[in-house]
Amino acid sequence: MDAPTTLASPPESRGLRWAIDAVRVFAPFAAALLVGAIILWATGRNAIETYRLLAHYSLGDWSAITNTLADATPLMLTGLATAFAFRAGVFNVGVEGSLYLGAFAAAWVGFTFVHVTSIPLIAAALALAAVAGALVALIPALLKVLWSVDEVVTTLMFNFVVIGVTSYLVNGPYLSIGTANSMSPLVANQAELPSLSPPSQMTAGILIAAGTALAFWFVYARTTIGYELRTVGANRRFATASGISFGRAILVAMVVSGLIGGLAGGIQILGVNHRFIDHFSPGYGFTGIAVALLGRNTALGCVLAAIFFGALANGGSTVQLFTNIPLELISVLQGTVMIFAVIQLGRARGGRG
Amino acid sequence: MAVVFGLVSPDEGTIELAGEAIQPNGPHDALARGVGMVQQRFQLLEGLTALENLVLGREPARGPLLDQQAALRRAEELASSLRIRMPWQRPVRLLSVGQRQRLEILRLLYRDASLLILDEPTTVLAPHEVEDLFTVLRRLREQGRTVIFISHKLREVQAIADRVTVMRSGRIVETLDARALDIGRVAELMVGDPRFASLAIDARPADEAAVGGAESGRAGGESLLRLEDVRVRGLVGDVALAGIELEIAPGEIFGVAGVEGNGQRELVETIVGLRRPDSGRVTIAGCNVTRASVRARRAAGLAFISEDRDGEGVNLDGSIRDSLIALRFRRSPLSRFSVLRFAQIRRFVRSLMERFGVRGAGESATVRSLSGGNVQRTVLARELEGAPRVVVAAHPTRGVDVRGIAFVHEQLRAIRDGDGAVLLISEELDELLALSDRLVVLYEGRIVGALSRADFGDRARIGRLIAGAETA
Repeated sequence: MDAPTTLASPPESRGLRWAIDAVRVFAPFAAALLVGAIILWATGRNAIETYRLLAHYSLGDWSAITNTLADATPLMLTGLATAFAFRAGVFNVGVEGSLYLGAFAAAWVGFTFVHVTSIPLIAAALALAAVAGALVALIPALLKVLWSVDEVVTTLMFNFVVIGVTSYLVNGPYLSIGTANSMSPLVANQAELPSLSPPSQMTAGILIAAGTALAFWFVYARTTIGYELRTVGANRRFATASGISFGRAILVAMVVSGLIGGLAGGIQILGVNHRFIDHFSPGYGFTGIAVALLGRNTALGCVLAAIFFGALANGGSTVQLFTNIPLELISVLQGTVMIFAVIQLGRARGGRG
Repeated sequence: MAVVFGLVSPDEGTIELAGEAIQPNGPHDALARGVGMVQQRFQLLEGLTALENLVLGREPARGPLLDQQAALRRAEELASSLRIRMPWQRPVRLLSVGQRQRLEILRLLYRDASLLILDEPTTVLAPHEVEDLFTVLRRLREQGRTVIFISHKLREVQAIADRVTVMRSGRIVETLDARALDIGRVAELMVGDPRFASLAIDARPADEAAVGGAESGRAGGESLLRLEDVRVRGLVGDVALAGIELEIAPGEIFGVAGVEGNGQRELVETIVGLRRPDSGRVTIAGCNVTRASVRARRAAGLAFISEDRDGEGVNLDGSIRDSLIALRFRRSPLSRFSVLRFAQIRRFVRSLMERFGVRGAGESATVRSLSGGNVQRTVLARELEGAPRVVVAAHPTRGVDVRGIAFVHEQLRAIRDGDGAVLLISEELDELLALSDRLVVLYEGRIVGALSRADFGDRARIGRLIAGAETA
């Protein structure tokens, strides 16, 4: 799997390294499909036919593709948000919290400033969503930098605090009058993100997600702050001894991670739900962790992984309408992909020869 | 050696042990055949006691429980056969390096190893501990066991070995009788280049070493590095540094001798900016940097060669490029408006690798794929390319081969000759005596002796200072 590090001269040619990277990226998918096939056969189903249907309903025609991309949009953003922090060695598992506060912030702008025209309103809503998301990440970041409080604990717990706060907001002060469920009023019509291909829910949000991925790549591959972040992520002691500030890197990584997480929430509200609904997320932030892991914390990897999960979600829910294949099997596939992804991550580390 | 111990499988060829061809299938198998190895990084569990580490994997049991008495009896038996004392009930993390090493050796005996391989065992030891180790090794020999002692240090080899085999790049160059060993000849064989024979520091008496460095400490200029009454408390509230005063002038290599653990790491961290002193003042090139960041100190002209090369000196799993640009990436020409410029970076990295002779892999390969000597060249390249004013060099030649040592020394001398200041921390007395213009001895966080080149001849006194037996 990995290039043997004991070779006198490791693979130098760009082509070869690309090929190795490509194998590394696609191997978990292939392995997961294989295991899934075995399970299908074991339960007396035709695996090839199932996969054909799954592929058909997720990527088979334009409408399937747009629905897959619509499902992939929030995952792409939460995946990128998680990966941005992971790459710098900060285990921010609080993207779900950023997503919730960002979502509420966007909804609030959308239903409060109803007389503002479309573009400024959307821009303001998404900007406030991103800031709200960043705020959620800022507190654990400061706790870590100032007092070395473990961020896994604080970010995870903060999710519940934030979700609880938003829940209170739509059950109390911002409860929409005349609705049975706890939800905010609808955002103004002009605040809704336009669908790129009606009737699908693939909105301009997918373009924002793609742009975010591009920016992610640029920052990590081409900028000095990206170099600082990945150096801190790879070897904190080396970074510190070289004069790179650990605290600054942590703050930047967490805040940007939160920004993207908040943006994910805002886009989901303006694009799909059009109002804030209590507990609206089926765990986009947590699936984002899976997306980041599977995508090896790279921009392209996250995009592909998000589309894969989007395809499973979209194809899976359609397949179950027409066949006797339960949705649970799709979850099995998702889980299997994750296991193989993690196996690849913990690749053997050879010593020097 | 990794082949014999079963860590690596040979591509071809056979290994014979006591006349029988073997093919060790992992360390477990090798141990079952009586082959044991003490690796450079100890394989002990820090949280368990010495006794538990000894019997781990082959515990004498009473029912499901560890039979403490039987284990202790056997442990004492083994220790007394080598006349070693071991605090058996103490957790390994509280043991000294020398004790850990002896524990590793006892572990091999516990498993009935008859062939012991020791990989660079003395690099982690203080000078007096080396003597203890040699005593243990001699007793092992008396017990009829075979010891393979791997070392870069010729004087040690001469002191302990019966036969010496010189290896270079995976080949056996020659096997010699140790009794009539000509150290210069061995050094020559090791590097394969007669010009380096005289640079093998262990082979050279100290007083001959005063080549070129005779004009000790071209003082006169403003001092480049000054520490005033620097005090640091250790982790457990003990005193790590107790009022250090030192001053290094331009054009001076300033040696710090002493057994590791007497405040060296704290001294280095305080100067580099990885630790704030509890009181005192650090000045680099006239700037008070006591509270300044690492980055500010580096801007003032500080370079740092870490003793933990793999952990702190480089980014082992990053590219060679990433480790080389760490001090330069913020500035033009390597970046502009915070965007890295790869054409410029490539040019910069290639010229550094060329200038400092980093070989064995391309700039995009991981640092991990380089040999230890080339990793150290990578560190030197990054730290020394910009003509730093003050160089903190902590054990810069540890684990480096003879040719690499000569290169490191050459680079440090070049800094001095360029009117820089070098703080050289080392446990190799020969190295310190060969390079330093002045020398202090650190013992329990204090400077217990300050010597100039005129005093360098009295090795016995320096030894007493290091051992804490005399204060100047």
